[in-house]
Amino acid sequence: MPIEPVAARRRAADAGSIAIREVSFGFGAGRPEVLDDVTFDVASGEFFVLLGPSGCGKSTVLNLIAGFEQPTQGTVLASGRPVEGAARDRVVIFQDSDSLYGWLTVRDNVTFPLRVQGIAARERDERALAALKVVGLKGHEDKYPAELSGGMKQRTQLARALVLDAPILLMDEPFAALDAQTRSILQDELVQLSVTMRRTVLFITHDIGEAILLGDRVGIMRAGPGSSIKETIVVDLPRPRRRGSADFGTLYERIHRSISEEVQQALRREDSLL
Amino acid sequence: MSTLTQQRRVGAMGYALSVAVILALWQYGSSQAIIPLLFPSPLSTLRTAMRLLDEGRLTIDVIASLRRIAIGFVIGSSAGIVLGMLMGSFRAVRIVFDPYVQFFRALPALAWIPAAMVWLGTGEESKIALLVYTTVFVVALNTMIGVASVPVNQIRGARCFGCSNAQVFLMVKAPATVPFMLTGMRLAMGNCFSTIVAAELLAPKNGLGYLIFSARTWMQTEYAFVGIVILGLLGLIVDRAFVFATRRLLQRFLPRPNR
Repeated sequence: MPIEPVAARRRAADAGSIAIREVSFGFGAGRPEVLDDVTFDVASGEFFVLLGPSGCGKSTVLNLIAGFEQPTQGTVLASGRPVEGAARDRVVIFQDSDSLYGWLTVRDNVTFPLRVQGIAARERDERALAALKVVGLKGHEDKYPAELSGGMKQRTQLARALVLDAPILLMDEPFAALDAQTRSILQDELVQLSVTMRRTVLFITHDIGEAILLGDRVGIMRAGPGSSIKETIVVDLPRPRRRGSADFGTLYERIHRSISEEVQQALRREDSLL
Repeated sequence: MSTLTQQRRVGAMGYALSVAVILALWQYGSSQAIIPLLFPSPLSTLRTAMRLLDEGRLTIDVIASLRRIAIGFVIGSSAGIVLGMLMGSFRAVRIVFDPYVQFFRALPALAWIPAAMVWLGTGEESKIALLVYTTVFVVALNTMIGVASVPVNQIRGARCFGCSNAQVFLMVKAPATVPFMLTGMRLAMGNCFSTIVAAELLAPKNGLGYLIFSARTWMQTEYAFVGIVILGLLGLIVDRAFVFATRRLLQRFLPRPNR
């Protein structure tokens, strides 16, 4: 019976995958549900963008996958295993750069995850330098976070996530706080990086253009409360994608309409409640 | 000349002017006193200070007081940091200790003098105990607040990197709390300079508090003024030295304006 080989193949394919099954989440009785019956899959190595209006619970989904929160119902799987708390195979890149350790230099911030594991100083520095090179921060190793621009801080966060070789990267609106120019540069760089680094990325944003530019697929969320995935759109445009191209514009329109419907329905719901 | 040095020069002149005005008012005021003995002038205070310095007594008093403060401050700060870190990190510890910290924080060391005398005698122990008491709660409270203010993303990030609870405590919470510990210590240091006067009421043989109180016995008001001025100056110098030292040694832990 070929059970063993199939199971083994299944495990290999599962590495880096994410599965959310009928997940609900709320902050306790008497308060509205944040998520109600969310289901979606992210394949290993896929770049999946979660898009939705502000306050729809995008970050909550990410927190559940990261293991910072536990679902009230349903299951969250990472690499085929149920998520039980945060772990090294899923690294978060936060929107706010306050997750960098202000008392450590850029180098020491990046080597931090390696120090936790007790990896020798020499290997730590080599790996940190390699990661800093990838994100274009070579030569800034000895600076402190307060001496960096917003874009450089996010590059440092990215480098700190890359040193770990974690199969899953969870990015929570990492470019939302940056100026438009820096944001567009970092978006382009992330596109290039995502091709070479071959990791699963769950990327959260409320920016439609960013979603189309980066994602293999885009999951559109309903307006909260009790949000879920409204639809999932495959972005089958060749990379690198040009923001000005006709296909880009068509897809933008389509997604924009879908989200506008959500927002308008949410507003009508509020009106009828009033 | 840069504007910065210009500003500094103006600042220094301002300080000098302010001190000069106070000294002049003090000199004038004491000259109007009916019995000069009761209100010594700055000049007679200075003369007395010089004489006490010559006799070697002033040096002994200064060293005795500073030594007590140093010992009490170091013990109290260490205990306060440990207590504050534990209170900040563990709910159970916080629930148990918080009422005491809040209660004793508001209660001055002065109130404990009789008890300290009865329990610990009139030697060094009771004086140092009062200084430890002065320090520990302020430092603990500030440290506790510091632990609570560590950005949640710093802790969540650490969890992603596989930090154990102990590693989160030592590698994130403790260094992130350093500025709050230092604030608590600086406040405590100031309080120590007021407690030392009270502590040296306890059958002392030396110390600036003793110098101040001995004035009463022999009607030597100048002694009290010498003690007050020296104590005030020492408090100022030690505070400046504390700020200078932390900026030099712990710069990377201190908050900086973001770019």
